[in-house]
Amino acid sequence: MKRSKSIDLKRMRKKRIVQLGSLSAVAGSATLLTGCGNGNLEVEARVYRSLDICKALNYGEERLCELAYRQALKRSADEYPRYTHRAYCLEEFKSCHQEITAYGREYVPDMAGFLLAQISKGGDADSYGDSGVCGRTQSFGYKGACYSSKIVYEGNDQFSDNYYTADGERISRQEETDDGFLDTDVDLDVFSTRHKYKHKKPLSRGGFGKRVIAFASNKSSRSSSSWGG
Amino acid sequence: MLRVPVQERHDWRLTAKEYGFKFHTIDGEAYWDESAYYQFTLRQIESDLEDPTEELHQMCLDVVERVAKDDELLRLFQIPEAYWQLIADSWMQREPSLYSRLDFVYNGKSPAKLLENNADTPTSLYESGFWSWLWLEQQVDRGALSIEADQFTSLQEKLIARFAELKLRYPGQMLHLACCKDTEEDLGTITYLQDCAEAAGIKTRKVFIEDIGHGEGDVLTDLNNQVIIWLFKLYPWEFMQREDYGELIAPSGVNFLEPIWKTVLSNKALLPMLWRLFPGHPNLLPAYFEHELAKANVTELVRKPIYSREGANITLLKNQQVQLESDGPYGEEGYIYQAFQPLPKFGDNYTLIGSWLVNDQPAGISIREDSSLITQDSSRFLPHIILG
Repeated sequence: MKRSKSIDLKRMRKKRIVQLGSLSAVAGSATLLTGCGNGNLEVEARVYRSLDICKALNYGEERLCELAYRQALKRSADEYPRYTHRAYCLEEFKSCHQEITAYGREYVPDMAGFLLAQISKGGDADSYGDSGVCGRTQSFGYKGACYSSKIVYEGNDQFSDNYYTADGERISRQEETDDGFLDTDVDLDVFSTRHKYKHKKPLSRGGFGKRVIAFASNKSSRSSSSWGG
Repeated sequence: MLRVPVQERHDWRLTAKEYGFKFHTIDGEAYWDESAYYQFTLRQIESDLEDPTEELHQMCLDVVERVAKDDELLRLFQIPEAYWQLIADSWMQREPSLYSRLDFVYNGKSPAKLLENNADTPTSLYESGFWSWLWLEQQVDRGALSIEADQFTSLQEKLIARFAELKLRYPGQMLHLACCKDTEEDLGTITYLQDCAEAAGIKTRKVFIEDIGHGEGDVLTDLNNQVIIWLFKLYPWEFMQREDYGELIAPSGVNFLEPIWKTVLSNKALLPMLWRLFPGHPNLLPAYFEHELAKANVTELVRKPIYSREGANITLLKNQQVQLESDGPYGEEGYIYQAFQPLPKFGDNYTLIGSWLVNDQPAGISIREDSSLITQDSSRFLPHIILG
């Protein structure tokens, strides 16, 4: 056979028509590969648009939602994306607001929800706190299981990618359908060991791309044409 | 090699929407055209296209080996002196490449002739690696094509395998993917590469070329001020080397895809160099630098800018008279000349074959059609099959 033997169509699909049903309050769910313990563990994760929605959909487990929400906020304080101009923020995210931070006046994306994933089961429930005794510094324990949570932000439409975690990992690339349901049935590696990315205050932008601007007016072929070949 | 009309899939536009293929129609004109396909035999694919692709690629690397160490040749290639050492180092270290596409004149009978090597920023990747593949799968499933039909399209699995290799070289690194704003086609290309990289377990983020920043410490940053350490750039090296941030290419320490030694490989000056080193090779057309034109013993020549993209600024000359030319913004760095070999004509269409490589391995073909002898970015893309 001279062609690719198989292609993961689920990964390639960018839009899917999904019936909403009663799940409109949940932004999405995803199967996550956690890298926990020996080998990878597949877990179910969900993105909730708010703490209240999480509680409403997890009757009797409200404390889990509270722990997850708190953990997510704690993590995002260290990791959230920040921009010097609103326009830059809006290039990547659907909506943004201004904050005064250690870097000065900055723009950060509005929180779109938080992702909650159960990453392991078992152990002594009572011994779990919410500060990493699950064996991962960014997980927390609840009723004998380990969970992890992250704030998510909604990407802008241009890239057709919808939700990002604070450290830039995309947790969904499906477009939101008209009824508001987001299909995130994709394998992800959200909780694998993370590389610590450096942030540097920009001295300038736009040092690449000027030749294209100069050439664009001379290019006679179709609009929106490629700069590749 | 046949051109065979076929019924379009009635729902292909809906399928395109589902899969995010947004540039199938551009300015109201069809770019993706599945009203016909090209049919090849396995022998044509393997002997006439795949094997020559592998051999020519190695010959091209021989050229890089010579040029990267030779100041005179680097000057002839119009590469700015500030980057000579960087290119030599990049080549000596064999900085890894991802992919490229050789363009051929091929009619199914005579040896394929190399027109150029798109080694830096090749596009039509998504259409070749995925969309054509999907077309074949669906047409076979629906009984429109024989179950025996195959296709030379192993791009996607080879790209994922290549990214898996690169992940081992750059463990834990986030790959930024960049293209220019306002070009759906380029955005589609980097999105496809993002799909492949993520399938290999690499974390990715997109950034527009124009949004790349200069951060403290001479680093390159994205819009989130995150330092870029590994960058796929769908943006020509020759542009980058002549722009303000060109001076940051070295100190930023970015691992670039494609690596900077591809400045040599993607340069049209490659063509006369190949002819110098491998004169008479069956897959090469005679080619000359401007100062070598006296050696040319052919009456019909194609003049190509040393740096150009998408068939821009190409001139067909017969006895030094212009027969046909395409406009565009390129040419200030000079030109090379290549013997004219007309594209084969199927009906009213001139047909060009693109032959893909992922790193050093042939990985598929793509087919473009145009009513003009010069293939440009507006030329239609048609699928193909292998049968027999």
